[in-house]
Amino acid sequence: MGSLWIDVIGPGAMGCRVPVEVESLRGSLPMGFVLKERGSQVFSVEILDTYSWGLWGSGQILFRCNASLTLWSQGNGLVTGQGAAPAEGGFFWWNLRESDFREALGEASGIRKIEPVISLEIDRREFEVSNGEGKVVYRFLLGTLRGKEGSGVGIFQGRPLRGYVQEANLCTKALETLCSEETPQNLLEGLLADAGITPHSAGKRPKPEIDPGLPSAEALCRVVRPALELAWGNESGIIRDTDTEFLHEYRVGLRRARSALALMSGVYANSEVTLIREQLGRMASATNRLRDFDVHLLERRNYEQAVPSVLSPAVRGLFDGLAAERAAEHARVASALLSESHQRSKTHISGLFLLPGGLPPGEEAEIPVGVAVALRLGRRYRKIRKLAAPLSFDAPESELHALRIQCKKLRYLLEFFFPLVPETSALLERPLRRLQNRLGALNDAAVQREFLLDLSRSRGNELRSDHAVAIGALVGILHTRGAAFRVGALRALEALTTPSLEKAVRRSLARPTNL
Amino acid sequence: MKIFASYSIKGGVGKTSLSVNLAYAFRCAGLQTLLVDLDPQGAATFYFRVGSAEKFPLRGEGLSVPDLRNAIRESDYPGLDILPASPSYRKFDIALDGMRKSRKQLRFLMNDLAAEYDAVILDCPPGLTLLAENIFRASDLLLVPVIPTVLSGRTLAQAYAFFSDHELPSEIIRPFFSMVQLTHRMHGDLMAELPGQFPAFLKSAVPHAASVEKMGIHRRPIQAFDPDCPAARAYEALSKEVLALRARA
Repeated sequence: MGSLWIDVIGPGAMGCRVPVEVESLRGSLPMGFVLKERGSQVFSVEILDTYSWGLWGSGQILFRCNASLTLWSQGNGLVTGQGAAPAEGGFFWWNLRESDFREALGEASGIRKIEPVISLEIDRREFEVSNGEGKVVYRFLLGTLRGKEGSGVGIFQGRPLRGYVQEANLCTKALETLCSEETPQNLLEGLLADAGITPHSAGKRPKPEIDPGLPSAEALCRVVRPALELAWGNESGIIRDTDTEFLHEYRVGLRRARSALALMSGVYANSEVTLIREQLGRMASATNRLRDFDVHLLERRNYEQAVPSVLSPAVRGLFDGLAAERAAEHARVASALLSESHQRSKTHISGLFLLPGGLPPGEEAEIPVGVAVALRLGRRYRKIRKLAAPLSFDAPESELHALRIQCKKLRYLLEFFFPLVPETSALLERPLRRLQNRLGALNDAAVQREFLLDLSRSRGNELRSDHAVAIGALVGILHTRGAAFRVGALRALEALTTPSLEKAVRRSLARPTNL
Repeated sequence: MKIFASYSIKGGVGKTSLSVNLAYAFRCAGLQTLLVDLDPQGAATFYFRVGSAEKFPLRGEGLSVPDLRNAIRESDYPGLDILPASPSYRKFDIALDGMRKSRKQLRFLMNDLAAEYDAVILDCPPGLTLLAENIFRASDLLLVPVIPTVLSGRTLAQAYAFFSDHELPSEIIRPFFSMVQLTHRMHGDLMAELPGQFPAFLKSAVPHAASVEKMGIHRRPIQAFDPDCPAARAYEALSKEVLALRARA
């Protein structure tokens, strides 16, 4: 695996001034020492990551040079894994050959596509210093990293030879004039910034700073604003269409903003809130069909493996058709996102939440948010217990769906205002997450089943017979899968609604923090 | 880690040339290699342009491992380190004589380096001393250069006799012909005769060559300045044969 270039940013590397003027160093070396350039090479290297910077976020940077991948630790500058990959374009971790490296990438990237973020050119020059005996006593590398923009950054990597500490110290002192305090990590960040790229921007979930005494109107503004930023921040990714997670996060942002406004009704004037929620709702629903396609196509591998092999070609054909329809749907969504009317709506809505007071206050605007949230949490939790009480294994899907919506609202309240109710959050977080995961899976199975049935109904006589059989098989699989999730969901529901938990939650909400 | 000694009772037979070129070949084969220059003349150290080591504290309870590590120098060739010769080696035998388990001190020292190196090559001074016995007990293979002359054959027989008298494992002795001049009739005759007497002879043989003497001018292994000359090729073949033995071992 040729990755000679990576030692440029290995442990101990430091930043240095650009352009690197080596010639001027000769004079500053100790008497009798001779500097010689051993060679230079130029490499084209790409940095890759997921849309949400999963690798960067886990303290690693993934590089590709030709078809060779190198995973580099930002903390200690060590190579933590290497493997082969397609020479260009993006890929999923499961596209790689089985290895520990593949598993490591899988952990950091999950279901997200790993894609080139920036291309760099690395000029690697190797030098050595000899003493009066002609013996090499010190080596160093100078690397210049350049993106398409900016003058690039320099990296110095000293390599003292074992047993030549004194000589190395003399050389390092002479070479100090080249170096700065920058680490390779800082320099890479600088290169990304030059290219207008900021790691974490797209996938970061907002965490607003709120204290319990803050008026509810101001606190709500702090929750809604970052949710909107999350949505808008993912739009360019949706248009590029390099990863389905851009759309998912866009919808999450919109949903969080809408939910926050609904959950805290009475904080702003209802008439205004209704209008904003409708606008946000329209933006989200304009992407519903695209998201449905995505959910299906992401499951493609599982579907192909789940049906008997005799049906595999039909399932493949069915999904090829869905992929073509998705492409058309994506073009429609992209054009809607780029439209002037959409941009105008965004600017208008964002403007309302730039500062507290952008919206006319409601009757609860001045209530301390700690109190307002505690009241609402208690109400939500009681509502879930009430909905859960009559549910049995054969409960209609509509009832389970209603329960899921209530759980989602409770979870959002806890997420938005976590710092205000840490005790309640600690009590409910785990059982709520478990229940939501199962209800979510149950809902996904139901939605996918309905999507396939709709597809077969809408095609009518035009549906190919082998595709009809494939749809039948998949609907059957989804039904069985749904039944399994239903059992799990009901068990998780029991854990969330036990009398002891209810008592503990009630007690925790009776004393909102710091009020 | 395997320890290879370049040893002969007789001087001037090509021990240092073997050590230097074998160490270089091992390093080229990807082995992390240490060349230990045990000969106070320090010729191997000189060939690698390394200064001699500070004096080791040879007196006391044992040879000091930290001092040994501190004395190691990286050669110009990544993957090959040198433990340079020291003037103290003159007193090696006296120092060893005063120690407990005096015949195994070198082995103990080398064991401490096992994690760092794949191969250690000992460039040994001539003679049959207490240091030599330490070398025999420390080594996995004893490579003995033999000039095809009567006297060299005789010293090889002396080495085997020593092993037998001291119940040492003679199978570690692997002689090979060194400084061969096939224009000399006697060389040809003895090269036919000695392997019959000592079946452990290696197949590879190193010719007498001017390039070996030029190592002193270039101060580099032959393969590094004249890789295509017959002597360089001979050392390469010899290193492959030795590595194959190591693999079998």
